[in-house]
Amino acid sequence: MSSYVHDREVVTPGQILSNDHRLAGAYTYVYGGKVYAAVAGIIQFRDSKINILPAKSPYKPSESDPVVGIIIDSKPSNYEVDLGWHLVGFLHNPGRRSRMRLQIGDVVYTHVKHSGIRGVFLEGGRELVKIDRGLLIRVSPVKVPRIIGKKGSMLQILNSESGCKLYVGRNGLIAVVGESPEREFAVASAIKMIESESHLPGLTERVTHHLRKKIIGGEIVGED
Amino acid sequence: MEKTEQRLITEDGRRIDGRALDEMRPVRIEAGVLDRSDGSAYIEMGKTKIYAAVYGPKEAHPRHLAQPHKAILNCRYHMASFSVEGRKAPGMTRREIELSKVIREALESVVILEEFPRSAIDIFIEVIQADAGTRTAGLTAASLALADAGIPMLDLCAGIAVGKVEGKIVLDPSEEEDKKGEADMPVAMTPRLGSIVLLQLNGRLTSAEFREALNLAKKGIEVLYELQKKALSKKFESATPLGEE
Repeated sequence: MSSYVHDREVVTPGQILSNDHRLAGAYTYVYGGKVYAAVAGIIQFRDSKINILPAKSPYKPSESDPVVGIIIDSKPSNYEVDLGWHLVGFLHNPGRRSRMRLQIGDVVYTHVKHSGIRGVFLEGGRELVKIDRGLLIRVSPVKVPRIIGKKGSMLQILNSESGCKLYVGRNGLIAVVGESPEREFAVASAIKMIESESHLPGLTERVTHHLRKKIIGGEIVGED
Repeated sequence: MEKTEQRLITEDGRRIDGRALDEMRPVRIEAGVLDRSDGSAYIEMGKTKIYAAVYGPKEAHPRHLAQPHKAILNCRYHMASFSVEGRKAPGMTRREIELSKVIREALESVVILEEFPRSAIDIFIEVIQADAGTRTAGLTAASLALADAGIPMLDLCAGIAVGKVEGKIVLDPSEEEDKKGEADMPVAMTPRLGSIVLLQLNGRLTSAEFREALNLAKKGIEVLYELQKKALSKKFESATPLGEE
């Protein structure tokens, strides 16, 4: 492979990655037929492309991403949904025939239908879920894959250990709905732990241990 | 001027603070120094001390300024009232407004603004202590803060001033050399792409002197660039997740 970097190497913006423009992956750009890094992060070869995994990055919506948002405005044909960061999504308002009435301040879980020059459009209809209780947590969007885990493994642990339902948005907003606030807070602290310790090995075991410690007896065992 | 005036360059080619003609002041660069910002950086060049913070991308306000196809940059270069000898009025002076503009234009050429349509990126450069070379040091810190925020950019950019003092071209003039010297030329470049993003000149230089000054600035910029990269990778090695999905 005609690349100047190896897997897991730390790169900085402007660093040359390859002479082959076909290898340009996430967070890279092509200039004069060569591939350069656009952000600082760690190199990851995947799908025969050179991708960069940034430590921090604003959320960029793409089609069919699950997102959690807050209704900030209600207009005759649209709701405006705050997706955190800089983004406002549009959600079609089906009017009186709608099965749910949304108000300003409501939290919804849905998917991105389309994202382009005219804005971000969200899926209404059956995929739309209104979340009327629970906890809303904000994490860095680049950490979301870690919270989901390999094929949803981490999510499964969070779910089975606590019994809470999690709505994980790609935009970094996560809604935790559980049967008691104690359980919800336990999940919230576990998520914060994943976010801050995602680079350390043995994360799964630590999360399981952490959740059990917090949930046993149904009480909060001190913040750490 | 009296005859007893102190020479700025001694016979053996040393400057007033003991540096060689092509020697920079000691530099310290750090990334990610402010917790509440999306990205931040700190730079110290001799007695010049500057913080830069980046917020966003976020919604552009007022709304009519938003561009449908790209983000807008807002840049504020500001000197703290205690940053200079005597007190500086805390408001934005004419000079600060100009420097905000030239720094913004320099950064606009490196940030990939098309990634964030209809949004704004705010950059705040706060000079805590000023001792010449603040616009270039501020730009250096701001570009590092942008990279720290994870905003895609073509390259980091770094800047340094070159001056003409007593007929000699010197790198990174200090306040005294700047005041008493014949010329001062701040230069900022994107080292990997090799383009000049900021160049101003105060005073007169012959074309030969200009070329010499530009080459000297390039040398200084390379040094700053390496320090920027070091500061960034240091920050990222401890924070980046070993990605998996």
